[in-house]
Amino acid sequence: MKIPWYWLLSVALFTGTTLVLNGIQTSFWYLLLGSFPPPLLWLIALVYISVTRTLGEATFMTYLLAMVNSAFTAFPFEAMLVYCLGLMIMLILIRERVYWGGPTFFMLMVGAASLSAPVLFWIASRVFEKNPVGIPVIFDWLISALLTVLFSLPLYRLYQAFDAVAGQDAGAEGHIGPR
Amino acid sequence: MNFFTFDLRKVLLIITLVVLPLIAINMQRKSEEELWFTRPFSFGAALIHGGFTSFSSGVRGTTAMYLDLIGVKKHNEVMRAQLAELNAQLGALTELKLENERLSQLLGFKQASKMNLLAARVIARDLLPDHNTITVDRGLSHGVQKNMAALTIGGVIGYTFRVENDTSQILLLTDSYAVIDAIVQRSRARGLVEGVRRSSCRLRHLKRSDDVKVGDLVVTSGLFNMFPKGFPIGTVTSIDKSKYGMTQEVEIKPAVEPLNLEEIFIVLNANHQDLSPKPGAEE
Repeated sequence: MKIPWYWLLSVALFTGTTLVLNGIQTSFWYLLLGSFPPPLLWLIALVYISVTRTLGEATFMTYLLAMVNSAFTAFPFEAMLVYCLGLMIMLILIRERVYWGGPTFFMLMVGAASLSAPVLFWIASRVFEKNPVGIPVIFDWLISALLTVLFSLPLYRLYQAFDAVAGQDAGAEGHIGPR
Repeated sequence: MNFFTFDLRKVLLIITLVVLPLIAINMQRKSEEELWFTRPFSFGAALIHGGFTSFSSGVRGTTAMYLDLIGVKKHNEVMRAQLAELNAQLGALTELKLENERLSQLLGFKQASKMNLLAARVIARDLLPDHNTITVDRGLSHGVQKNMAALTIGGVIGYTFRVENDTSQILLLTDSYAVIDAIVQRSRARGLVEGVRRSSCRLRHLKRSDDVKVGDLVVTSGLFNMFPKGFPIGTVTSIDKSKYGMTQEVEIKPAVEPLNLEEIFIVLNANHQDLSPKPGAEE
């Protein structure tokens, strides 16, 4: 069996980047700017894999993302996995209906995800948890969404560069979008 | 050629060129006396001198002013740089002063306490905005273990839920997953404090008949020696007694804003310390 080295490299790069981004979001941002709401950098990673990967590959990478994310939060891994998969499926459904590729599309998807993620989280918490989380603070939610969109462009370029290095750039974008 | 025949013009020329200057040289004249015919020229010269003096003085003044402006500009830049540097130093010093005050307070608290406390610095927050956890720079290598209490001088913060070698994550009492055994200080009514949102929590599982009032202090029960007994958790802000329920729900404002802290204590061993007020102490 041939070992898919390039694919493994792309997975390793993705995992490493997610770790670093989560560190920036939770630690670096906090130490630099205190309580000012940070961008949801992990969400950009999730949107990227949802937009550029096939369903199977996106699912696998969402598992990885959930594993990495759960190390940075009190939210348990299982719940994180369901949350991330739910978001990924939502994004893939949008992608299957509307897709034109490129950074603008990516930023719009990030915007949609960052606005809807806290709402989905709140609804899921209401439905599944015994002591659900409180209503999100509107100001923090909007600032966070805005910053996430702003950070999405450089990260999109970064992920594209990683994909080019790992030979993944011709991957999913060739056979996704509305049929 | 007749000796006496001469040209008058030549004679005048000789007189003008030779005789008058010789006579003028040999004339005795007081040095301070000015000749009448040179006076107008002297006057003109004085006027011109005065004019040029004023002009040159103006030029010198303007040049000097311009040169001064260059100097002032440079000086201003230097001063501005110095001011910025001093401001930065002042900011750093103020920050250090505040930190020093905080640390002094913490040190005083630690020394006065019977508990075995470990000071820790907050280094990170939760990934999800809906969860309230912090990460501190102390872990297994410093003796921290899971489910150890975290507090500060003002009150309870939470407890450790994930401990790595050099870091620990603390579940704040305002997180929806946090549960802390508590009692109402005045009436000793017992319940569980659960997080609700960023700046509030709830005392649940109180019996309907339990005596609770708005403004009551809710403190730790000291169960399992995790927290010291009688340490403040928060103050009652509202009470919800449903018509037919068996329990009542009490809203609490935490004694400290756990998300605004920079340094905290982890309780390595509470040593069964009881901080409840002694009977008659209030009087």
